[in-house]
Amino acid sequence: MSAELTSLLDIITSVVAIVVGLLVIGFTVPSFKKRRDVVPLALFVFGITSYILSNAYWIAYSYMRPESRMPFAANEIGEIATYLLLATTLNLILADLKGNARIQILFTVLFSLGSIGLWILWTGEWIQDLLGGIPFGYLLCICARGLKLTDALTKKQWRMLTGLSMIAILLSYIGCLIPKFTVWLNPTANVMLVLALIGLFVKAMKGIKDNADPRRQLALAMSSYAFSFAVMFLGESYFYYIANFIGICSAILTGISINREVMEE
Amino acid sequence: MIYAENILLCISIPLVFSLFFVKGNTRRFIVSFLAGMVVCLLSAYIDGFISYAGGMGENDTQIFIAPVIEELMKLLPILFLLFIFALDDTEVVHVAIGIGAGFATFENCCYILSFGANSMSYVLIRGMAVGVMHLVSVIAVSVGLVIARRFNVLSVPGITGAVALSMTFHALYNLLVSEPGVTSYIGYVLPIGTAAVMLFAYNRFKSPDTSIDSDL
Repeated sequence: MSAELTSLLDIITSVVAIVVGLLVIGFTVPSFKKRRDVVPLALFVFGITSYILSNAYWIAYSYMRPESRMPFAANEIGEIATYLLLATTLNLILADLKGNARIQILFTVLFSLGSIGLWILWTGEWIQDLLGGIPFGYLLCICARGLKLTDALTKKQWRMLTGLSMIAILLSYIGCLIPKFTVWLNPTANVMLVLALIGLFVKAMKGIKDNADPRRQLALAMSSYAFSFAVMFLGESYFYYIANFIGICSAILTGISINREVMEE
Repeated sequence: MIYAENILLCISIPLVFSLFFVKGNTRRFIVSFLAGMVVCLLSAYIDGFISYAGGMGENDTQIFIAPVIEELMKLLPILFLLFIFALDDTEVVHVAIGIGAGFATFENCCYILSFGANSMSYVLIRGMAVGVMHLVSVIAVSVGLVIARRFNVLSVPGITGAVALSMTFHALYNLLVSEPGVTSYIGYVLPIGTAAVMLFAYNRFKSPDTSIDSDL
């Protein structure tokens, strides 16, 4: 992709993300009056606000300092805030669900550590990647726990999601370590991750459409949202923008599902 | 060179003396105001050190380093008072307002002494943009901490998320005002706009029946 097209797509997706974020906040805020327990909504609104601010910062920086790279990405702090606040929201909503998700969390931790390792190999910015990666891994673990405790995925779906993700990470590492294979390994890994993301997103949409248990809807929607970030950070070229687009749509699903979860019966 | 420590002493001595003549909430507010001024000075030291160690220019320090350090430093006394003195919800927010006001006031004093107070527009910007920005960020964090504590989500992720939000807001403001032009005007309006939205949201959605009651 040419640099101009990349730059244009980056700005368009950031602007769309901000508009969608504002819309999600717009249809979430009226729910404050309809429900006694507004804390999950408040945390969710703070999380989406962080996401909006992070994108706004990126757009402002690209406009004001187009040719310079940020020595320390302040917008990544906004992303960290988004991960932590959304994780806290989901944790709060699922607090009374009993059960364990040890296997799912174990694989999520492996996936997160594998992703962080790849970012460090690609960028060399190990402090930033660790600071951003750990909260992100925490969000993924909370989402995995949520999917397990709400029985959102069948065993076969868990195996598909885990298999595609872990194989994609493995292929990316092989591509890094053996450069002659990079040209076909990296796109293959990206395709696997995007397929996993599409599967999760379709499941989330189906949950909303079929009006499944609200907590299951929320776990699916937020997992799709969180996983879209993972695919973006590991993806390149067109795969990055596909994941970004699915992430923006997942933000809408997350807003719908959290409103359904906290509505009074 | 403006000898910031001397300015701090000069402003704080009357305030310290006034503590002997007041009590209760007034005393608490004055102490938090003093804490805010001290935190401002310490933040400037840390910003200067990191800027020197990292070889960054003044502009880059203001954009990338200052928001992180200043928001973290403002948070520390709030957390200290929250956990050690077990303040109630209203007291936490009032203390946070005192810290924010003290921070903004001392910072403005230093800037005016450095650059002069000839220009009314500069003075208004320092007061209404920068000053309000410091207050908005610290109030948002304190309300977030109060809500989190009340509903038992005052955990590391919750606190870190709240302070990261204020850091991003502060960083966005500093970036927008770093260069003259349209972006700086957007930046100047951002704190007042945010404060208005927060006030509107608070008045619109508070009610005796909701979990966030009107004590705040």
